[in-house]
Amino acid sequence: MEDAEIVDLYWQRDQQAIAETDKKYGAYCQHIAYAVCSDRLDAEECVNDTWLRAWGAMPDKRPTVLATFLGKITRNLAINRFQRRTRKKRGGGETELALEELEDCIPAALDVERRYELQEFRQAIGRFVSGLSETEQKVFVARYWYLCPVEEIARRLQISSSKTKSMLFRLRNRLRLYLKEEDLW
Amino acid sequence: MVDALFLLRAMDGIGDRELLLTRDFLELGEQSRRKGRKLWRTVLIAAILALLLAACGYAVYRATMSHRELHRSDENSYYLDIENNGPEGGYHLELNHGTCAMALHFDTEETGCLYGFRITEDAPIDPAWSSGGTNLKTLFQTYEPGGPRPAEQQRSLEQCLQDAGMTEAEAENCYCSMTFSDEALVERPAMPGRAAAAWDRPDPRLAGRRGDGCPGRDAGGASDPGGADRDAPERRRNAENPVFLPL
Repeated sequence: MEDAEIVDLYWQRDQQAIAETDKKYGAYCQHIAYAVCSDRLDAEECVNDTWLRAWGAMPDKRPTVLATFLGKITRNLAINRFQRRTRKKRGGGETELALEELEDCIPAALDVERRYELQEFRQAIGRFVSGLSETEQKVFVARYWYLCPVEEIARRLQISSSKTKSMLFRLRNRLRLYLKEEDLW
Repeated sequence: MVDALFLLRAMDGIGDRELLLTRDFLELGEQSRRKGRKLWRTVLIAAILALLLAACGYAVYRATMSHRELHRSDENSYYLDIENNGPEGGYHLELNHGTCAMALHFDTEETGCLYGFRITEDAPIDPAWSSGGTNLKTLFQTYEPGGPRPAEQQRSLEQCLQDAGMTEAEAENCYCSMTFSDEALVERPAMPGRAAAAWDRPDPRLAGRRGDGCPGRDAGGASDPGGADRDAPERRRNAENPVFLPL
């Protein structure tokens, strides 16, 4: 089924939309979530939550590219889940839990500031990546968006791992300089 | 506060074009597309494996069985090559019956000798053999239509084998199997070039021994001295057209 037809189903509030989305993008989203969480169950839950989010987001939104729309939702959910899990592991419970509870009391202005900052970074990174060569784009996005292992990227590019690593190193340096130029560092 | 996780979240700013480009690069496309590709790959691997298996089978066949193929040598002479695979201490024999002729030869594990027989219509038991070396003897005999019945042939062969130097008990053990086929059989077995060349070459040493094989058919045979005149034409024919295997 075409993406537009699936989006139409969402807009018609037809539950078949979720089944069709799962059929077409289930594996894709699962891959993204698993890359972040490294846990099958967590990844599955992330994917299910993604369908729920998509159901809630449409019909207000009409995504132009359904794959990336769903992928971004999945990725954010997976990062949240990853963050929660690492907090639990790190603090042994109470400190992290108390901090998490106190986050609710942070003034809205701070939250807005943080959101604004994040938005600024998003736009800067978007511009940075669009200015890269196609190979550099593939390497950077594969590593830092899809969280693909370096060896896998090297294999697909048919270059050595060390060359891929040095390419990533140079890209990170260029990103840092770029963020400095944009007054974000 | 900017930390690594914050940056990881900020990567969401990467455009759709770059994300799709990398998705294709990583082959994370739609499920059905991936499934189709996977299926195609599986079928391809299965086909390659089947091909390899067939090739192995053919190679094994070529290495072990091809010499048992039946080949036509000429219009009147046929034989079947067999492997020296008789039971330990015994002999293995396969007898094939063609529409034009029937032939046999066999070998022995014990002595390393190779024997063949030719029995013609005129002289159904007229064996000849050659001594190609101390370890190898050849005797070839062809059965033609109208020749002796299998039972008679067997008896004749026993006789010939004894004449070739086997004891009666050994000759009896030769008959491990006896196969009759309707197909017209064949030419010489797979053999080294030198031996193949020798196939058609008359062995001068045999000239004096021709006809020594079977009592009752041999001019000098003890059991039937009178048979010499009767079989003279056949012996002459054999002398013109030797059938020995001096390998």
